[in-house]
Amino acid sequence: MVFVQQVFTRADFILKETLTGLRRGGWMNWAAVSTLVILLFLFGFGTRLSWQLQNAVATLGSQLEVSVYLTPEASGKKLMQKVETLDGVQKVTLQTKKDALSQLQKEMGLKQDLTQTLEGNPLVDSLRVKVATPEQVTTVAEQLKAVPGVAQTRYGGEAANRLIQIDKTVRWIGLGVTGLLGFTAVAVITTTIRLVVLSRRKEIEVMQLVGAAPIWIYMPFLLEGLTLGLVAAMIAWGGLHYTDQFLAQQIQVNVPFMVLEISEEQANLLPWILVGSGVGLGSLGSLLAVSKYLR
Amino acid sequence: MDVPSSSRNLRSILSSLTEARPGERAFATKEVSSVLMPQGQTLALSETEKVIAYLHKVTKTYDKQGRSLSIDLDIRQGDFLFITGISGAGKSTLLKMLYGEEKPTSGEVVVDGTRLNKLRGHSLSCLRRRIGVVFQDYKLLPRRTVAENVAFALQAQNFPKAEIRRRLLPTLKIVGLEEKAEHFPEQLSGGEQQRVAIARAIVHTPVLLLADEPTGNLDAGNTWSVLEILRQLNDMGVTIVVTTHDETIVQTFAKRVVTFEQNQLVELDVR
Ligand SMILES: Nc1ncnc2c1ncn2[C@@H]1O[C@H](COP(=O)(O)OP(=O)(O)O)[C@@H](O)[C@H]1O
Ligand SMILES: [Mg+2]
Repeated sequence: MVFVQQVFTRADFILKETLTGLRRGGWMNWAAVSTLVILLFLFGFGTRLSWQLQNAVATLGSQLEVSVYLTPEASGKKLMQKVETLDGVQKVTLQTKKDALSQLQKEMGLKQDLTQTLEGNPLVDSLRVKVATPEQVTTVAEQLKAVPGVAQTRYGGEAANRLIQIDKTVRWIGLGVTGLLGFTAVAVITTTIRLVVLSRRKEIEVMQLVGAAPIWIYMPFLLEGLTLGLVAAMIAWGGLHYTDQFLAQQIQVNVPFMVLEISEEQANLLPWILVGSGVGLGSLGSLLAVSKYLR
Repeated sequence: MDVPSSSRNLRSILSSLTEARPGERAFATKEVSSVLMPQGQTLALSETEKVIAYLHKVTKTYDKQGRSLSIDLDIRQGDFLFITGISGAGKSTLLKMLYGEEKPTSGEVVVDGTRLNKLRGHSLSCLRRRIGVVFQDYKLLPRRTVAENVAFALQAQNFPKAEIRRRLLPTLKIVGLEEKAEHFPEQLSGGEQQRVAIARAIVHTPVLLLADEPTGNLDAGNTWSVLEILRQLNDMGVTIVVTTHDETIVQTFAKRVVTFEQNQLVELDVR
């Protein structure tokens, strides 16, 4: 019972000291929180973008279809039989240039005959080749390229490779930016807490002299840094949530075929990553501020 | 003049504080309560009296000066010891070594069984809870009231709330400041501030009380009342070490006197 009571006395003593500290920090608190918010926002944004790209890569990579575009003079009908015999090919469907043009015409909502406007059909025949397993996609695509009359092949893996490159770039830039900002954020927090420590050095001196344990003396400052980190993480998450909705709308309207999604687990994980980083950086900053006295 | 309550009153207050609860420290120990006797009578402290703190073959040199203090001193339980010497002699330095604020250059400092030479962090704070210090410059917190200043020491030492409440008023009564509990230090006279500092130093019932020039800035009346408080505490069994450069008060109150002569601490014969 006595112990429980002590913990409570302690708790409200320390909470009171923490609040006093936050009050004395004044505008410096906001400097620290803003830096952290910017850092955490960019960090969260980068992380989410990276996840989206990775998910897109996974989706594209698992596509089993190869699109084959023929040269203008080649005939799809003739090539189809040859392609069907290739190893790993499961099914081949043909889209003639005539079909392609009428589909285009329909999509564009045009009434008149495009062949007249364009003086002939500029499109080519194409084949949709369904491959049996994901591992065979690349080899089938390579073989198809070598077939006479084939101009171009397209498959998900290629796009995936490009997305992997983008993801790599995003991650490197993210690492650089967050590293730099992380350094700044910790420096600002350390300065903030150090100012508060300085404004309270008389109290600290008396506490030391009357025998307060060092950990209790510095706990309020650690809690202060932690609070700054927590507040910043919540603001950053709010901002991220809002921009996410906004971007999703924009994408829906402007580029509906683009699928950039994160899984539910990732969506749930993101706020915790932000809180963890915020609290971690906040505590690190205050630990650095008081480390000199803790020894 | 604001001299504290009569000595009988003081005694009953002190006794209430010394009722030891299980597992708690108290002013009076068995040996000491047996030497409690009417005022004015000298105490025959035998040489076998328990040594509660000592400095053995201690030297202290500050880098800038070539000067080096040398100190050999046993502080015995129940002592009312005066450390005298001119300003700059090294009195504060000696006290600081006893509460671990300064480290000796060589030699050994032991207080209540704990060696202080390399003590720091948590162990140092544990030792400081067993002693009380009245600082030369008081070190009161300006933005806290008298009561808060005194309670601050208990809060810092992790005392439960109920215990803080129980100790606060009796302690303020000992120093005669119960009426000024809600005042801020700047609203008090020098003598009153000094007594707040004493209250804060004794509120946790230390076994050893160190007072650095507690009468240095006070007039005759306040000097007398502060020393009277210290004497009452000493009668209750608190070992007291006081520094002063005022030779006249030494005669009236000291049981033992040591002084700095040419950087060397020597004991004077008071009887
Ligand atoms: N931190 C310090 N650095 C250097 N010299 C000091 C320091 N503190 C005290 N001194 C010197 O040590 C001597 C003793 O000081 P002090 O113990 O304060 O004397 P007293 O309390 O007897 O007046 C003085 O000469 C003083 O100048
Ligand atoms: Mg001094």
